[in-house]
Amino acid sequence: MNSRSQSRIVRTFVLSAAAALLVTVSASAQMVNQTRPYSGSTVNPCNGETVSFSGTIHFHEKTQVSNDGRIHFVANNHFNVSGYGQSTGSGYNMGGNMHTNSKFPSYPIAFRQRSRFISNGYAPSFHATFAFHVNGNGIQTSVTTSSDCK
Amino acid sequence: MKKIRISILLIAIAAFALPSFAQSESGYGFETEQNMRPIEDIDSGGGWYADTSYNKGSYLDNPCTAVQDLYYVNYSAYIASAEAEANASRYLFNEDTTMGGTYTASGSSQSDVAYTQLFTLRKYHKVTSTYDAFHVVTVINFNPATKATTVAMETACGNGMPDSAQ
Repeated sequence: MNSRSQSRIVRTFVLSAAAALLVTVSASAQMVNQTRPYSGSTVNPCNGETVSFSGTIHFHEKTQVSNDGRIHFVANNHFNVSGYGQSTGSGYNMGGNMHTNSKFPSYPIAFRQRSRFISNGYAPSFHATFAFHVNGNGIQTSVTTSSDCK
Repeated sequence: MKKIRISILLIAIAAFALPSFAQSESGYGFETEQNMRPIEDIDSGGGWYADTSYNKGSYLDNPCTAVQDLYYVNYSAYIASAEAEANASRYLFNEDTTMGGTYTASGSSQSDVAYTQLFTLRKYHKVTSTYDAFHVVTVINFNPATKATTVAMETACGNGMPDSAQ
């Protein structure tokens, strides 16, 4: 085998490895595993007072392209916040977990989790819904909150 | 010589690409019945409600073991779905799964999804009669355009969490 043939074989192998690497990367998973602060305010619809809250959300998410070409999104996001009622002075605590294992063709998509804001004072407890908006394009998730008295 | 190079190229691509698709899911899909009726629950505020249920006898293999260990199971799932608000493209799902036989599993879940295209929800339930990561997966396919729900059963050697193998 002359040096020209050897060179061709090497080039072929390098090209093969590069092509395979591209395929592997395109099918690999993107992971998010981090805790971010989260704060805001909502209205306790059971008594009308504004509740300011702060805490954290632990985002644990995996995104990859499924065999069928769709986005395979797996999330197990845990939120934990405490609040303060501006009228009654009551404290509130809330915790919850949004889990999803889902497939869909494109972003955006939103998953909601409803949990109870538990009052540890005179104010009534109420429910709040955390909406996890998955936008893609590197921005995994933003969160909004709404409340109800049911 | 040219043919040999092309062959080497194709073999190399296949060999490198195979591991990236190693997380394939074995499927035991089947269609289900669906009964739709107008929603009467005022709390939901939605325009429709649907429930889907089926029972299925099937042979399952534990994917966590190297040997083929097929056992017969009775599998059933019940899916209730509703639109959260009229014309809001936001859908609520309550799912209950039970499985009896040599492999046993049970569990329930709720989902609240805002989306406009066909999507799939995968609900993992631990097979309690084994000590490994054997899970049965209730796969819910929902098409917002037609409000049609189909359900399939799959198996997995993992719990469906972000750090799970499957």
